[in-house]
Amino acid sequence: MDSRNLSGRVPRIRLFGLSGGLIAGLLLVSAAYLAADEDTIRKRFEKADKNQDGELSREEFLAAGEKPNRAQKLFEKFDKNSDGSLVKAELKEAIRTIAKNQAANATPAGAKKKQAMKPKSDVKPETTEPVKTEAADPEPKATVAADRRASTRDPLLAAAAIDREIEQALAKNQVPASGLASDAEFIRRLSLDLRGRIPTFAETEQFLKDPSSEKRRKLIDEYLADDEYGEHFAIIWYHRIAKPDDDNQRALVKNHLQAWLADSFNQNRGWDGIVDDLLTASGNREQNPATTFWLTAISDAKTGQPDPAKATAAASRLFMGIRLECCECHNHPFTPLKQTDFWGTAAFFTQTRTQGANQGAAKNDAIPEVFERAGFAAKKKKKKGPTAEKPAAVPFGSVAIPYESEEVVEVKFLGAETPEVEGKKELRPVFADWLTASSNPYFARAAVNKLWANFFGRGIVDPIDDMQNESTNTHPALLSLLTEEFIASEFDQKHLIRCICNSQVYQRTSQPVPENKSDEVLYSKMPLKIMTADMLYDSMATALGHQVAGDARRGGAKKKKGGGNPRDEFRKFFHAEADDDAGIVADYSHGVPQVLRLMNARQINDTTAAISSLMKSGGSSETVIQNIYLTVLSRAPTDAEIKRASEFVAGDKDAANGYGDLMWALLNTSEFLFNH
Amino acid sequence: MFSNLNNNLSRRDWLRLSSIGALSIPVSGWLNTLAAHAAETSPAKQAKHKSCILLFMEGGPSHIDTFDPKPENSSSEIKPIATSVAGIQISEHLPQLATKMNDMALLRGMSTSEGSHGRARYFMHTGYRGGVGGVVHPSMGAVASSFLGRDTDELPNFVTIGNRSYGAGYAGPFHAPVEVANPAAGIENLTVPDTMPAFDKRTRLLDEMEKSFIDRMQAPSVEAHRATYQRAAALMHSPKAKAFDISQEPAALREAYGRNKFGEGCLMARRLVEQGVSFVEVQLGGWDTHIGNGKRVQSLSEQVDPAMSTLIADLKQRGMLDSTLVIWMGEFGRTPTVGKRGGRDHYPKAWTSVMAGGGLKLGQAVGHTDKQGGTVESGKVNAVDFMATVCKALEIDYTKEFHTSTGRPMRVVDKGEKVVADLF
Repeated sequence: MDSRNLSGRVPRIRLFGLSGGLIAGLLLVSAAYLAADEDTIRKRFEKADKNQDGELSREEFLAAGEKPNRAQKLFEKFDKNSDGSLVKAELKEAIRTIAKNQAANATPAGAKKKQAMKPKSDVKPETTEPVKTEAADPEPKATVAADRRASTRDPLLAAAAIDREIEQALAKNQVPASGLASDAEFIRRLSLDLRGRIPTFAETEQFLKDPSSEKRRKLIDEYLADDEYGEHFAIIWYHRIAKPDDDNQRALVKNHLQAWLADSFNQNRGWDGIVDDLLTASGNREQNPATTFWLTAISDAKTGQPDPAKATAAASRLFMGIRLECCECHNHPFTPLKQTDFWGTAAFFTQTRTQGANQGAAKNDAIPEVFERAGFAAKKKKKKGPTAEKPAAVPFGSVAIPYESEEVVEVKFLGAETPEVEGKKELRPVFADWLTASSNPYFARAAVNKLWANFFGRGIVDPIDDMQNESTNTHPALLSLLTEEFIASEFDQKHLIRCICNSQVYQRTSQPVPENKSDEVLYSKMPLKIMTADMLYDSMATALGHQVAGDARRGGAKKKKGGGNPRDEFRKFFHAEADDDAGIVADYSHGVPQVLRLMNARQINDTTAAISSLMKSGGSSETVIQNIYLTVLSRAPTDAEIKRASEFVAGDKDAANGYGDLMWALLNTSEFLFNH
Repeated sequence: MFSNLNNNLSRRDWLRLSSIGALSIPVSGWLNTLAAHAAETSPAKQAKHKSCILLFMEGGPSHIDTFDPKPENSSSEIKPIATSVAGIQISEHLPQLATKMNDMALLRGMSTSEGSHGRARYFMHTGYRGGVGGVVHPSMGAVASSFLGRDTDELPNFVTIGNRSYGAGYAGPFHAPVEVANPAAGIENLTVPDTMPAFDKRTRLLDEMEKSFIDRMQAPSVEAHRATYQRAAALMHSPKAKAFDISQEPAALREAYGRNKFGEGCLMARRLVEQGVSFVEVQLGGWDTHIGNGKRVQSLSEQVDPAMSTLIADLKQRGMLDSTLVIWMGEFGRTPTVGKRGGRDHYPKAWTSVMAGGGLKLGQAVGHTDKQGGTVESGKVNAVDFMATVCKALEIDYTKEFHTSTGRPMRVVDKGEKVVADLF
């Protein structure tokens, strides 16, 4: 997949996988510029040109931006004659090239979108027209490399820093750490955490045999390069983002977002770019799956329109680690958050509209579209009763709190200033630029904390979507350090994962020693996690030799109410929704019906085929037993286990039946059902 | 038992397990220990608590054509008939229930404010509006499970029969319902694909494997895993599992309940409550009568009438009616006018719910609507009042607070509640 499909919206610029938000923050390039606003670029240029010599030196250029690494790269790209300074013409040329490429890549989606929206007379044309596709300049094309960047930063350094921080806290609390995990423990854990399933028998065998001392580090890289990596994190993020309810489910019937996320993770796009795309998405669901974020925000099936309040709650929970919705109706009781903080954010989202997303349209299989209707004025709530006056319009960039007070609140960045929106048409990019900037106090921190929780079962601040409560921060310096690392790597998730997985902390055994048995927060041992429903589904399939990956794992299947594909049905049965906020299962979550299914449903635990194939590959009874253990638990059995299993199998007249029962028992152990 | 649902989840497991004594059971042979224990404990020995059977009419039944007939409303499609209580009339299509009016109370002043199915169902199941504040509230059944359910019982505390209903929300998965899709088929996967002796042989092996992992990890969540397997295996061995098998009932009684999914669901509900299950929800869909209201309400009434009246009689005969609250309700009522397509539309402003048994003051209609059935004139009951009334009837202290996963305290029933005093 290339970058053009990542964004159905045209006016924002994307270069080398960088987000439009960043570039706008860097210097001059903005949606407004593409509307051929020479004046704007001149003004911005002059502002950046501190010594007013008509040229931007490298220093001046970097000072105008905020991300030195990226600015550096951009500067070199722009400085065609390599004279160490930019003149206006060079800059303009660079921007034009970007614009052209953007337009060349532009998507039929953009064109179609316009057309589809035209018939509605009340929809004003967007102010920023897509740049015409003229003979596309083949020159520096905005392509996304298979792996966007291999960060030049050394993950092992950060891994060591993680270890130092954890060690310090352990020493302070006089809690000893458990030893390192065995290779078998490690490959199983890593495969579950990075690919969402246990390793196959062959993978485990190969890894255990490998004598290399570097093999753990290599395995981390190997799994990160595996498409299943992106698919696994897409499952987590799709379900965090797209939460079907009675109001929005019709617009979410088809799931395009999951495949989009999988590709984005596999290409290792920066988290800032991914989130920017979600928050500013326009176009239809098929061509720009990122619009799903807005379709999820629909709070009334009849109108199919997104609700700024719902979008605010989602954006703050997902990308800032804050439960801002606690202040939807009142000031937060335990934190300084105010009701106006909630609505100040919601005010950015008031212009976002949909078409073809209501229940009537859904009946006709319409593909819902999302767009920001520039200049759309929200209205105060309609008063009921015969004396109802026409509801009053609310000024641009504001929202009226739809409760008693009906107070009108202006756009405001959380805990920061009120941005200037006068003259702007679109509000979402203003918010997205602020949110995804490296200076944003919430964005990187929340992402790091959430990712940490995927590996350790809890956030450094926990719960992960309520980071306001600093008293639950168990390792403040560690969180800061990782946040800085994430920002410095330009929001590189694979890099962050390398840092975490190469640490000793991640590679510790989950088995306690007597002195750290009761430790739950210091990471003296790897905490036990319950497999998520998806992990369980894919791991059972792996153990039983079924096909795991593929399209079914990338979403897309039509989800009918109460029905759906086998995975959806399985998720439902195992109450996966309850865990979707976190993508991790902290508590033991199986009830009696789930356990009955695991024990007695032949459709999910039929071992016949797997056993027959293991028996066919020959070998003694001991070998078969060993291979059954390797297949299910990804480890070799102990001598005592082999002895016991041999007796058990020998006690059965039919050996295949005996092996089958052995495999059944292993599949129902906590050792299998937990990620440890 | 009221679980303190704080966010220290593993500790919660630990406490739960300690409290039920699971940790004191020797690890060896654990799968069969509880089964033996359960068999020793007869229902009579167990502490008595109230139970609830919710008959949920999905789609929103027309109150005017069921329990609040309005002969003066020209759109009315039924004739009212007298009941065993003087002055109370109901639909002609509910003749058997008419004879049970002494055991029932009609709440004719229901007035809620959600008019779309999903939101209204959520509201009526939880007493809270959905989607506000980002929390998922526990439904009535999960509340009952939290307060009345017994952790030691091999039967689940909350069962739904029919479609998927609302679940435990922040009360946690332990209080999520066991779902029975088809009452005639019973609970899924309760029987083994081969034989019980073969199952026992397998589980003995599993048992030994678990012991070694538990010894190594010593983690509460592993204990929780063990306890759940214990309950499931115990249920498989337990004579109580027969509660899910309605084929054990005499043919005549099955006929009386009605040989359809709803009738069978009601019968299973009685069997479950008899064995100590706290809350059973039985659903009957099809009440969304935008088209052809008259005929469809009649046909649905003909399912409700035998099933519900037999349920009341059956409970009474077994001495269980006073301790079992039966609720009949939908998510809202329907408009007092019939539209062009011969149907009635959603109408939360005025409608009727029914309560039976539960030790309430019965044989009465509380509240009434105007001649058209469109406005509540007295005895108004909103969703919060209703939820509080149900809790009070079940002897649940609804002023207690749950803690959501973020630690936010949340009352079982929202503030501002007014219990329907006439029922107590």
